[in-house]
Amino acid sequence: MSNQDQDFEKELRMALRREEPPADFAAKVLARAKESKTAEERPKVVEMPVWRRPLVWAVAAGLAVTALVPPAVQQYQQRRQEERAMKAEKELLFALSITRAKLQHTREKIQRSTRQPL
Amino acid sequence: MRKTLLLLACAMPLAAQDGFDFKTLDKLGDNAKNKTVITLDGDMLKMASGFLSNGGKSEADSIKPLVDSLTGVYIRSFEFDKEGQYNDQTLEPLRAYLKQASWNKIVESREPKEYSEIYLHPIANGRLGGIAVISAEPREVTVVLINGNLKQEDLAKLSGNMGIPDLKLNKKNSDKTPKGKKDDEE
Amino acid sequence: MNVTGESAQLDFAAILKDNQAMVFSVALRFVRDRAAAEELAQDVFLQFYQQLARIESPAHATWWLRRTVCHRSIDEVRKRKLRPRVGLESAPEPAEPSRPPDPMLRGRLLKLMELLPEKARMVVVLRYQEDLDPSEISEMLAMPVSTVKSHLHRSLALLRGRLQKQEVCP
Repeated sequence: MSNQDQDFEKELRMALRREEPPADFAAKVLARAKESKTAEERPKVVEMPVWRRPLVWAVAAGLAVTALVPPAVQQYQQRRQEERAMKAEKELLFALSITRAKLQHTREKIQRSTRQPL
Repeated sequence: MRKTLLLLACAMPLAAQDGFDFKTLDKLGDNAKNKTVITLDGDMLKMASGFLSNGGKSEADSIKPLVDSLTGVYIRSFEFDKEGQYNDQTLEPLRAYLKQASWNKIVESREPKEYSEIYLHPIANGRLGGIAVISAEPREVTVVLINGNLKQEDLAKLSGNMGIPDLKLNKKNSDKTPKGKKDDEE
Repeated sequence: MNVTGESAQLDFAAILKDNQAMVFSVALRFVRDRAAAEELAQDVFLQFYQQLARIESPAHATWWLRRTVCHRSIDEVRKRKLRPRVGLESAPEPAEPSRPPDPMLRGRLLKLMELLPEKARMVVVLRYQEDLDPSEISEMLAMPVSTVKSHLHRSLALLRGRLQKQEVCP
């Protein structure tokens, strides 16, 4: 690589130095995260006082909720199951990574002590 | 500082495996600053294996046949702030268990401040019921326990590079400061 | 930090603090507007927050955030079709540059980066801002290493050529 190329790369690195976000960035993210967590914990079914709505709308809303809740629960359970499986997969790969690291470490120590490749 | 790694691989049949109380190993980490505790068996292992696909293109998928032959994967890894914070004697019940269950210690490497032991459990038809590795360093202890019905060549997979993520990859990515690497394509 | 197989509750606030500059800066190289970059960065962190239970370590968190902001930034550019509609000479300087030896040069380089296609631009950002090597970029963007190197080679040639042209004919 020529000196010119190296200088250009250096300029590019300088140009692309990381910049800090606004000072209140972290606070905003934390506030949104807290809000999203609270929203998840809120009951999904919106209760409407019957006397505020015509009876037919109240019955329709009740029927709609009854129809939606079982599939929603199933979807939630399925998603939880998938999340557990993905977590298990990650743990498995991590465990195997540790196994490999330790086996290789042992092999290297033996090679060092015997000065012979295994 | 060297880390003490205890790798305990148990390739015991499940009934014998049930006889070993992992809580005795957990005591090793009483003073640990970092702990890694993984227990995968039964349904959890099947779930994990289910995410890998046979004939898939990712490296992780290539180890699916190996994973399918496993019945249990157990990791206990503890890091300490200073030396002398765990008791090596805590491992003796494990060694006794391995001996009683006819595991063979095939490798033992000892240096002044660290040691490693590798055990295999031979079963019928030239296969292995599991692998155990104990690696101890002054400030780290790691125990790996792997049960299953393994082929001899699975040992190479467990210690090789294909299919199993490199532990170093994530550690490299945690470094946020420029490393000043040279561009190696020119 | 303790990581257990059963539960791994990482410190979100600490991860946010450690990675906010990285996420924001990658986004900024694509949307070129600080407010839009901030919004995109916030979305990435919120998405990360939803996935927190799956994250195993701070290193894993950095890897996850970097990969997500890469893909989100590319998507955002494609959605907005952020190509320069004005000549490079009349484009405004970026706000608050960090201390480069030549502020004008920095501004021009950043503007020239907009000429690059999204993936090539991301390769350059990952190489020269995040200091990843080609194999790491390859894994991050799910792109062959040879393609990464090709993007780097061509992008540098284009940027250098345009810069030289500007200096000759300002």
